[in-house]
Amino acid sequence: MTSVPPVDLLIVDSGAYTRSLLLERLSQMADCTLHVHDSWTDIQLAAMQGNSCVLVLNHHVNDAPPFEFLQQVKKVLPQSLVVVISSPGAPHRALELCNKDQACIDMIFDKPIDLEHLGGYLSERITLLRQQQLLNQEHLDLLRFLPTAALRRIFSQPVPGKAELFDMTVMFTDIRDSTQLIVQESARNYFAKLNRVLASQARLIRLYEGMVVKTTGDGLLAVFEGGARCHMALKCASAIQSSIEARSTPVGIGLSDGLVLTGILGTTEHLHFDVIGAHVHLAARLCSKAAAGEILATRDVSSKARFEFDSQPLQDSIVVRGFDAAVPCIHIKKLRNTYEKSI
Amino acid sequence: MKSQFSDQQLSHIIDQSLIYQCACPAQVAKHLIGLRDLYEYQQNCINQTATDKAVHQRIATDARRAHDALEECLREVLLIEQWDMETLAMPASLQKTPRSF
Repeated sequence: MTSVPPVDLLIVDSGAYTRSLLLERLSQMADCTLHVHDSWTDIQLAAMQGNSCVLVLNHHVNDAPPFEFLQQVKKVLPQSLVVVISSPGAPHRALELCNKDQACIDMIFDKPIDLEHLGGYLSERITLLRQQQLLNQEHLDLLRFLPTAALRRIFSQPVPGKAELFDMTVMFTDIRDSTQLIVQESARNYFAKLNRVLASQARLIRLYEGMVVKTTGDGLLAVFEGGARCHMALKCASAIQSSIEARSTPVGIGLSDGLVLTGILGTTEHLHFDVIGAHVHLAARLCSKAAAGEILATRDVSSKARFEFDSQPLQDSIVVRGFDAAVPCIHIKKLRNTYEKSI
Repeated sequence: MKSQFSDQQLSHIIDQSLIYQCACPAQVAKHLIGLRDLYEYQQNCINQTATDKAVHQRIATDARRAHDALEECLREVLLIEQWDMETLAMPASLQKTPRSF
């Protein structure tokens, strides 16, 4: 079980009396290490990097303006929670104005405060911070299972909007005649079958060092990276077509290779990894054109893969919606010497 | 609006109390700040009709009256509690025993 360190709880208050009141209440907080300061000048923010941090600043009207310090806190400790206790009126308005420009304060409490209310709020937020820290830790643990260093780089900082270009082989799989299957069987049975088929494909993709990006209804989108990506993707596609699941539930597979933009889409509440680009579209279109049991790959994929085929694959040029020129492709039914890895 | 206490002085009184449970002067000071905000707010309102003007005038008059009364109240409360009227410092006798740290 992953464990997380306690949250650093910083109390900054220039008044000895009010500081003592805050300390008295906040020392009861669980899962925290308390740090008490009468001024922010002696706080070493850099030493706190890596831990979750909660700052409670009781701002007095005679104190120096705290804005630069608060901006520094958010810069050095972006995940920290910053709570400022302020007098209502002009001091509160000045803090809000600064926050509008810099977003360096998470909550302002107006004096006089209800210490129990403040304690309850902090307790709730500290629990959330620790849960977030735990998730981040588990996330880092899971990163070790990602197949490629490039993808690990994206996942190490899952920030919405972060994206990078990578050379990848893109694979789409899709069950053929799925509408017929749905009509013939009960929805529950079809769902169970679909789950078996997709689980089998995902196992093979992992085995051939690819990564499942997402399920796409009746199929999967996966990517392969590295120098042997085309080879591995073709091997994987062939293994999928030879699998028991594909024999009972035929699939079509499309492959394309080239620069793909990969990144994290969504908001902080809902994130997902995705890949976009012309080669993603092309692989999807080729998949939709592939017959049952067939792999339809761009000629670029097959030449980079350096394969010996059982029989010469059918060369073709396919007109694909969205692409000006016909795309040179090959139709593959089965590869020679698809080595069987133990699953 | 004429006032006995500046905004800075009211904030200073509030700063010294911090907690809700022992903050009578701070509570009065907080409401004074609220009345000043209300007065300032209506000063910035647009008078498009005679009704608007009457409404704003009424608010201004009563905000001023309430403000004067509460300011006088605050002054007397501070005297009763024996605050230092020069520095507006809370007397030590009113503070809860500070925890040593």
